[in-house]
Amino acid sequence: MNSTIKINSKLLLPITISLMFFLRKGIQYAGIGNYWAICLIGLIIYFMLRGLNNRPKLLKKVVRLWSILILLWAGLRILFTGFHFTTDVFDEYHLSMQFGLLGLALSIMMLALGIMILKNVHYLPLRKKDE
Amino acid sequence: MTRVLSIFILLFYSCKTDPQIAMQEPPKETLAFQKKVIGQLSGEFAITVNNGEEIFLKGRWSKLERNIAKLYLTKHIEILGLNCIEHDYQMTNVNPAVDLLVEPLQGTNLFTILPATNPSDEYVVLGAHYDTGGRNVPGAIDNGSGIALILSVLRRASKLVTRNKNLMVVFFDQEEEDISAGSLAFAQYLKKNKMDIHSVHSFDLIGWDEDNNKEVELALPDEGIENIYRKYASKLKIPIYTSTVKSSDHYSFIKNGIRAVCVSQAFTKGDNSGEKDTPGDGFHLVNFEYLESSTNLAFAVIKDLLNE
Repeated sequence: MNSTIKINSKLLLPITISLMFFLRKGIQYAGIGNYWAICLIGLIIYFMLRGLNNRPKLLKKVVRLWSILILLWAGLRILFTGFHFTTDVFDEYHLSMQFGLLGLALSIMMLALGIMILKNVHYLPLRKKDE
Repeated sequence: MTRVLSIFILLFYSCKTDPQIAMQEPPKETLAFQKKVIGQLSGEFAITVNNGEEIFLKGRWSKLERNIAKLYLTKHIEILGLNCIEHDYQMTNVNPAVDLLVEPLQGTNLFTILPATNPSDEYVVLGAHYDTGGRNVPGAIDNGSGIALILSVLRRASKLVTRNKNLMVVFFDQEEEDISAGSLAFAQYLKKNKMDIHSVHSFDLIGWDEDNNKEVELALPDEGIENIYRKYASKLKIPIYTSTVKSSDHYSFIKNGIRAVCVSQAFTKGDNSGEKDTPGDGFHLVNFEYLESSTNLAFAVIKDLLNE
């Protein structure tokens, strides 16, 4: 009997896009010697996969946590972008670009994904499949 | 109006492939050469591209501007009959928390090798960063002066009949970012490729001398490096002193166990224009006699090291 939990399509797309984005980031940083991002995303993916294997409470907790992490990430970036636009605080080109218009667009997109995930987390089942 | 046109030309070329820099044979005389280089890099004089169009660089801060500067420097290297190699890199940010929020630092160092005339695996490295510290910062002294100096030394060294070591000349990217990303990446590149580096001589802020005493500062030299600079400074009647400044490219090499020094104007004694990292760091501030004097010192040292 197949005990894998199926994720509603309203959740699947934003979760997949957000995971892919941060997985790419994690791999990129791992390639230059920083393993924090890949470890974090690896943990999230690991617990999501465990949750998918008929552990609905775990899955719900991980998905909710993931949405909050995305919202924190996007929120911090929007805050820094606001500082940069109002005070021109980032002299360096690199940070100036990260918190410029394109960076803002990315932050808003991730904010939207985080909200979608948090809003639709209730679509995940509450009980195990054979209960 | 010309500068507005330059912006449009720059934007236009950003959508196309790299522009071709058109360059006549540079002036032979050091003073004229250095004036031309610093003038073109700081927007005082135009850089000519394809079909005679002209670009005035407002700075070397944005990716586009640094790309133009890179192409310009490449042309100077090619005129000497040398290959210019691009070293693309990615670096982590100043700490892991910043890494979680933003993309890695990405940049391009440029380097060339003037080979030894006798077989040698050893390298003497000259370096100067080519980026500027803010939007619309011409960077004539910081660090057009360093760039002009090492290009002049390269030109002179290329005429030496005997070179017992290879001379590597590097233009570092992103020195003005918090972690001197370009030089740090290059130091790691040298280590990874197990290159036999005799010493690294980085030149930064070498164009201001308000008291006209020709004084030069050496940051963090070891005893051997200090002695050779003092030897030739004494012959050229150039006052010299040492400091413990770490805030330039040389420290990236020292951290990686490579002998290095930064040569600059008397920075820690306050002999500065006050316009560093501002739009005021223009061509008009550069003391070209001081720069030429410092170039003579640098060449004397490098010639000695190449002949050892």
